[in-house]
Amino acid sequence: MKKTTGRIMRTSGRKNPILALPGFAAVFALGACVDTQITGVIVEDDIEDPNLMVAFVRGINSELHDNMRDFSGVWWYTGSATDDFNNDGVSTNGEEILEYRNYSDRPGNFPWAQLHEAAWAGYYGVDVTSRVFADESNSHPLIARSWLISGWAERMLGEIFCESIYNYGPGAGALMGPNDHYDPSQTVQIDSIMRRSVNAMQNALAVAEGAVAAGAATPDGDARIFDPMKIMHAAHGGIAQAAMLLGDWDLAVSHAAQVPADFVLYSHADPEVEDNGWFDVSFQNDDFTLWNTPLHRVFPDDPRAPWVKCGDWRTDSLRTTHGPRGDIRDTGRCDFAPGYGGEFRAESNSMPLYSSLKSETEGLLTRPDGETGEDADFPMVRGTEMLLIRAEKALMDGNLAQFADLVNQGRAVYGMDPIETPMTAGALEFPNALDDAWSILDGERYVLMHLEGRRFADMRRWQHPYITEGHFVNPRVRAENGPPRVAWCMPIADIECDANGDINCPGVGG
Amino acid sequence: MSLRSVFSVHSRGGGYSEPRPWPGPRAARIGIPALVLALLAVPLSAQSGSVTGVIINGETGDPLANVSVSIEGTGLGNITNSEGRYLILNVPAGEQELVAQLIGYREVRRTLSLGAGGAEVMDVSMFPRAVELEGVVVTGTAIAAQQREIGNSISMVTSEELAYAGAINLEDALRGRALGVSVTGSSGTAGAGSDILLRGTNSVNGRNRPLIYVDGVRMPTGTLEDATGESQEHATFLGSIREEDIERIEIIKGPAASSLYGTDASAGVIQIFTKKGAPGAPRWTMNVQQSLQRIGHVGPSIDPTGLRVNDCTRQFNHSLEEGYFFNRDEQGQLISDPGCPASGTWLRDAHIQDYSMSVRGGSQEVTYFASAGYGITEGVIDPNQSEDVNVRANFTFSGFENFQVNVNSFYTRRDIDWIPNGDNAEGLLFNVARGDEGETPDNDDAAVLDLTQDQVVNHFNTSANLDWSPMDNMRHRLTFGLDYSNSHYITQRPWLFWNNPLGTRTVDIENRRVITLDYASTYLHNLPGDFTSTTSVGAQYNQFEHLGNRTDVEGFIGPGAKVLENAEEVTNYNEDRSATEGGGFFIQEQLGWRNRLFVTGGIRADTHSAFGEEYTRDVRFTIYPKAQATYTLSDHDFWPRWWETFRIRAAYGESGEAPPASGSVTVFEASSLADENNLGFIIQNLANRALGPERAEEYETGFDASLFNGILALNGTYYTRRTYDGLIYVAPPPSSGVAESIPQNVGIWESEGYELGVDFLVFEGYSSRVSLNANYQYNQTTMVDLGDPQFEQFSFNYLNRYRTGRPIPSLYGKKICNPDEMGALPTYTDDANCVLNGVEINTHPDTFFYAPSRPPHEASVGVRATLFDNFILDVFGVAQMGHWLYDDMAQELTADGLWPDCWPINDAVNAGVQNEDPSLYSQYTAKEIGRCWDAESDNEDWMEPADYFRLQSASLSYRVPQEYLPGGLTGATLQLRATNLFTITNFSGLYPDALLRPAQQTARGNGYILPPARQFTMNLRLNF
Repeated sequence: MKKTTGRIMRTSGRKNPILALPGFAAVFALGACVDTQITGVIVEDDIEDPNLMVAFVRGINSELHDNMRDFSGVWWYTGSATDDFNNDGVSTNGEEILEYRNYSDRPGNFPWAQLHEAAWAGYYGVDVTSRVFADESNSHPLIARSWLISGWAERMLGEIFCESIYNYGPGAGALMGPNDHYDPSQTVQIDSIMRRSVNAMQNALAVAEGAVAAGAATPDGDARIFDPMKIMHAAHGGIAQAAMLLGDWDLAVSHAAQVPADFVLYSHADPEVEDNGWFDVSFQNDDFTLWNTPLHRVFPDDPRAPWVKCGDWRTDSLRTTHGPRGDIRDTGRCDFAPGYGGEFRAESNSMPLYSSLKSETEGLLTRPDGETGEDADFPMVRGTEMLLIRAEKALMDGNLAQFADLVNQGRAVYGMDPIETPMTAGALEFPNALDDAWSILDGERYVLMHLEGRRFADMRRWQHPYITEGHFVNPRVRAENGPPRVAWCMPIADIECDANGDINCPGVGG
Repeated sequence: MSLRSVFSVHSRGGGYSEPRPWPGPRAARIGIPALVLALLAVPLSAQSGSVTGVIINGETGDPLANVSVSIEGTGLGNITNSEGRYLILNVPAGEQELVAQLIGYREVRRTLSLGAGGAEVMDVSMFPRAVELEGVVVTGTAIAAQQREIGNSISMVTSEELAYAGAINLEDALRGRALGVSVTGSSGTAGAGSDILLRGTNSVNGRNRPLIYVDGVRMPTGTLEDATGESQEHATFLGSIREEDIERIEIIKGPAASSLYGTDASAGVIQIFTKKGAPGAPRWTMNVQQSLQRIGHVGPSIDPTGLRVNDCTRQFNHSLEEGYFFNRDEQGQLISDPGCPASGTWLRDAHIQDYSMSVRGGSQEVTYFASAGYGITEGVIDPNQSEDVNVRANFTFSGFENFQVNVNSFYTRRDIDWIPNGDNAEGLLFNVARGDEGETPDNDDAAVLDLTQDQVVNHFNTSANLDWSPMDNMRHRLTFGLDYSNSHYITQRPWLFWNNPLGTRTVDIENRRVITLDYASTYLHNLPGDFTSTTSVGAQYNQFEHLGNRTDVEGFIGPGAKVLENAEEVTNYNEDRSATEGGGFFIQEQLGWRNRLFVTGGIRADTHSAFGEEYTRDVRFTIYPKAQATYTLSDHDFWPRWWETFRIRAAYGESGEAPPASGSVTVFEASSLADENNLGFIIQNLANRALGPERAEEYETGFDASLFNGILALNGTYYTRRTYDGLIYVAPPPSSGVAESIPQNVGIWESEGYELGVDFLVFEGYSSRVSLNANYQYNQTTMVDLGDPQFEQFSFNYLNRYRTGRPIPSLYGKKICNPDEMGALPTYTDDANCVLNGVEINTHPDTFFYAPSRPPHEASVGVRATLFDNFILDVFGVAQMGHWLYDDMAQELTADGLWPDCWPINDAVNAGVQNEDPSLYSQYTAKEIGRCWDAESDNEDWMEPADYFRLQSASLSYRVPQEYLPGGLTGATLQLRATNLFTITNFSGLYPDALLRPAQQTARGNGYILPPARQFTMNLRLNF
C-alpha cells in the first residue's frame, strides 16, 4: 500500500504554452499599478494651495498659543517658580515654591516640548509659505508671520531654560523635518537660542517691511495677526526682547524705539476650548492665589494686573472643620463663584482667594477687541515693554531723568500717574521698597508682564536677591550628589533626557 | 494522484480552488478496470457472488465517494459513487478479504464469507488519517500543493472537528484543535468574540492577528467596532461565519509559510473553505439545536450569594465580632438588594436555539451548496442576546473544457443586545458586586440596564474563482472577491438615566470594504532524471476601505423618540475615512525528485499604500524570500513497512506587517478652534516618510510520522522567528520639534516555540474504535530592542509592559519584601526599608518582572470513541499555562473592603493597627495581609498565575441506523453535548480566560467579565 514513487506527468501537445502569457502579463500589470494613496484626511499636498495658506498659518499660530494655555503653560511653570503667584492646592507655600521643592525632579516637560514644537512649526510654516508664494518670498505677510512664531518660541525657550538642544530651522541650514538633519547631541547655550530668535525676527522684519513697501494686502483682512505693519512692529519688538537678553543693548534699544507705545500683538486662543489658564486656576479651581505676592502687597489697584479678593475665611459659627468649602464666604466681588481650593488654604488659615482679573478686565491691552474671560489672549510684544527696555538702558547709562520719562510714557498708556524721577539708581529691593530706580524698574516689569511667563528671565539676569537665599535649587542635582547648583532657569526637561540618548542629563531620577 | 489532483479542474465537488481529490494511482489501477469488468459482467460462474455496500465517513456518517473497494488477490474492485455505494460482481465464493482505500483515510480490511450465487452486503466506516501527505492544501502555496511538497507545517481543522467542538464562537472552536493557534478570551456574554494569535505575540503595535480568508477572499480581522462600548467586549468578523457551512480550515502560522502573502501576513493566515456542491440529487441537511446556558457560582466560594450576582435576595456581610452573616432589617428579615430581579438572581438559564438547512447537489456541469440559518443566543444576563441570520450560496460551473468557475457568497446579519459590563462605573457586575457601595443611586443596580447597547452587523462576502487548465501541466487561477461589512452600534442612556439625567445617544457606524484580486499560474514539467519542475507566478491586489462615523449627543428633553437630531447638543463627532491598498507579485520554483524530495524557492515583491514616500522611492518593492525543503524518507524501499510515513521538512520565509495608514503622511485637521473661530489647519500627526513594513523572518523544521497503519501519528515543529523593523511609536526628542509619537521601524523581537501533536488509535474493532489526540505548544516572544531607552517604560493597562529581554507582554510591579513573615505588615520594593533576599532595595515599582501575561504553554487532549458504529463519544479539554494575570475586580473590591475572602484578614489587621496590637493578626503572613488589607492591597498583590484546564466539551452522538430511518431520510444524528463543564484553576478571579477587552492586544486584564456558561445542548441533524 505504501510508496508513491515518481510524479506522473503527461504533457499534452495540444496546447501551446503561449497561452500562459496573459497570466504573466496580468502579474506585472497588477504589480505596476499598485500605487500609494490615502484618502479621507487632509495631507500636505492638499494644504499647499495659495488659497489655503491663511488657514495653514492660523494652524501654525495655534502651536504657539499652546504654550500659554492652561495649567501646563509657560506662565504656570514660570509663575509658580517665581513670585508671580503662590501655588495653592498642593500643600506648599511660597518659599517652597521658590526653592523648587514643590516640583518633582522632572519639571518643565510641557513648555519644553511645546516651545520646541512651536519653533519647529514656525520654520515649517516659513518653508511651506515660501514655497507656495515663491514669487513673494520677500514680501508676503504669511511668511513674515511664520518667522514671528519661530522667533517668539525661541525667545521663550531662552527665557525659561538653562540650555537647549536643537539643530533645526534656517539657522542650522536646511529646514528641519522629523527625519531631517537632526543632530541630537548638539547642545547650544541660551545665547545661541537668543541669536536664533533675533535672526528669525530679523527675517520677519525684512519680509514685513517688504510687504509694507509692496503695499501687500492683509491676508484674509485679518489685521489681528496678518497686518504687515503690525508684524513689522512686532518684529522690531521681538528683536529688542531677545537682544536685551543677549546683552546687546544697542540693538535692543534701536529696535525698541521703532515700536509705538500703545502697540500690542497677541498670541490668539481658541474661544471655546483652549481655556485660558488664568481663568481656570483663578476661579475654577483656586489652584493658585495672589495672596502675599508682590502684586498683592504692592499693587492693589494697578490696572495692568488687576486682582480681586473673592472669598473671606469664615469666622462665624458656621465655620466648620470639614474642608475649606464650607469655611469660605463669598465676597460677592467675583463674577464666578470661587472653587474649593486646596490644602494650602486650609492649613495656613490664610485668605487665599486673591484671584487675577487679568483675563477679566477690558480695555487694558491685556487682550484685543475687548475679549475677556476664558479665551483672553496673551500679549507677545507691547510698546510699553519696549519703553521699559529703553528705560533700563537709560538707567544703566545713569540717566535717571530719561529713565523716569520712559517709564512714565508707558504708564500714561494705561492712564496712570507718573512717577517721580528717583534720586538714585539703587539696588533691587522690590517689593520691600520702591524708592530707587532699579526697584521701580523691577516692579514695573513685574506688574506689566505679570503671569505672562516673563518673570523668570528677569530674575535670572538680575540674580534677583528677593529670591530666597538668592538662588533656585536645581532639582536635578540632589543633595547626595553634591551641593545645590545655582540655577536661574529650568534644566533640560526629562522627556528630552529620556528620549535623547545622546545627551547627558546629570541627576535625572537621582 | 499528485499531478492530476493539483492540475485538473474537472473533478467534481472540489473546493473553490481545489477540486476534490481523484482516486489515487492505486484506485486507478484497481478501480477502473474493475468498473469496466463490472459493467460488462455476466455471471462467469455459478461459484461466484456479489458484494455491495455503502462506505461512510465514520466520524460524520456522510457517504464517501471515490473509495476504491477491492477484493484482495482477485483483481476485482470498484469505486463508490457519490452516495458511497459500490458493487462488485463475480466475486469467487468463499472467504474473501475486502479492502477499502481512499486517500486521506485509513485503509480498512474486512473479511467476508460469500456463498455461491450469494449477495453479501458489507458496509464500511472509514476514518481520516492523522498524517496525510497526499492531501491537497491551498494556503501558502502558489495554487495548490500536496502536503508532501510543502516544507512548512500547516494545521487543519475539519468540519467534523467543528461539529464536536461545541464552541461559544468560531475562534473558540479553534482553541486546542489546531497546533500553533492561541485563542484567548471567553465569556458568558452572547455575541462576544475571542482573540486569535498564531504562534504567540507577533507584533507590538501592528495588527498582530492573522489574515483571514474565506474561499480565497480576504476579510477584516478582529473586532467590528472601533470602540468597545460599555460592554467592554467585542463582536468579531469571524462571528459571521456559520460553523455548519465550513468544510475545512487551513492555518499557516508564520512567515516561514506566509511569504507569498507578503505584507500583512507575518502573523499568519487562516483560510476558511466553505462547503461545495456535488453532482447528484439534492441532499438536504437540517440542523436543529437547542441549548441551555447556565452559569455557575460567581466569585469567592465562601460567599453564598456569589457577590450578589447569583443571589441578590440576601446581602452577605462580615464583622470582626460576628463573623459572616446576612444583613437583616429591624424585623430580622433578610435584606434584598434594591433592583434585585423578581427571580432573585441576576442570572438566568439562557436559551440558545439554532436552526439551519442546507442543500447540496447538481449535475456534471453545475453543482451547488446553499444554506440558511437562524439562531438566537441568549446571554445569561437579561437582556443580553445575539440574533443571527445567515444565508450562503456556493456554485461551481464545470461545463467548459478545462475551465471551472466557483461563485461563493454569504450574507450574515447579527443583532446583538449588549449589557454594560467590565471595569466600568456603569457596568452591571461593577455595581452589583459592590453592593451599596456601587455607583447606582440607592443601590438600585437595575438602573444600570437602562443603558442600552444595540449592535446590528451586516456582513456580505462574495467571490468568483476562475480555474483554467489549458494544458494538463498548466493551471491558472483568478479570484475576485468583495467583503463588505457594516456595524451599527447605538448606545443609549435614556432621559432621566441615573448617570446622566439628560440622556445621551451614541451612534457608531463602521463600514469596511475589502477587495481581493488574486491571480496565480503554475506550470509543471519533467526534467531529466526523476526530477520535476514546478514554476509558479502570481499577483495579488487588496484594497481596504474604512468609513467610520461616530456621533455623540446629549440632552433629550423629555421622553419620546430618541434620534440624534432631537438632542440638545452634539458632544462629539468623528468621521474616519481611509483607504489603503497593497499588492505585489511572486515567482516560485519548486524542484521535485521522485515525489519524495521537494525543494522550493521563491520571492514575493510587495508594495503598500501605507509605506512612506521615501521608502517606496528607495525600495520600490519590498522583497520577501522563501525557501523550503521536504523529504519523505518513508518512500524509500529500505524504510520499515511498519513505519509507513515519515517526512522531514524545513522552511524559511519572510513576510511583513503594514504600518498604520496615516503613519507615512503628515495629516492636518481642519478646525475652527485654531484661531478664534477662523478656519485653521492643525497638524494632527507628522509623517515618517521612510516608514516601511514591519518584517519578520522565520525558520521552522519539523516532521510528520505515521506508524502501524496509522495507529500512532506524530508531528512536531520547532520554529524561531525574528521580527525586525518593528513598528514602534517613538516619541522623538522634543528638541527635534516634534511632540507627537511617530511610528518608526526600530523594534526587534524574537519568538521561539515548538508544537507537538499526537494521535493514537487506542482500539479499533469492527464496529468500535477509540482514539486519543493530544496537542502541546510553546510560544514565547521576547523583546530584544525597543529602539530607544525611553521605551523601557513602555506600558499599558493592567500592569502590562514591554521591556527588553523579557517576554511580551509581561506583568511588572513592585514586590513584597517579607512575604512569609508572620504577623508583619508588608513592605514593598519601593519602600525605604525593604530587604529582599538579603539585599536592601528601593526601586521603582515598574522594575520587577512577574511573568508573561499571555500563556506560553498550551495543551489540549481529546478522546473520541465510536461505539457500535452508531454511538460517538467525544471529550475534549484545553489548558493554558505559564502566564499571570492581574485580577482587577478582586483588587478593587478588596481595596474597598468588599472581597469576602479577605474580610477576616482585613478586620484583624485593622483592629490590630488601631489597637497597636500586632497579635491580632499574628496568624497571617505579610503576603496575606498585603493582599487583603484594604489599606495596603495594591495591584501587584492581585497578580497571580492564571493556569487553567477546562473540559471544553463532551458529547455523545447517535447515528440512527439506516434501517430505522423513516422514508425519505438518508441520515439522522442526535447529539447531546455539554460545554464548559468544569474548569480547574487556582486563579482567584471570576475566570482566568474571561478577559477585559479580549481583543486588546497590549493589555491583558481580568475582571468584571462573566465566565463562560455551561452549555447543555441537544442537536438533531437530519439528512434527506
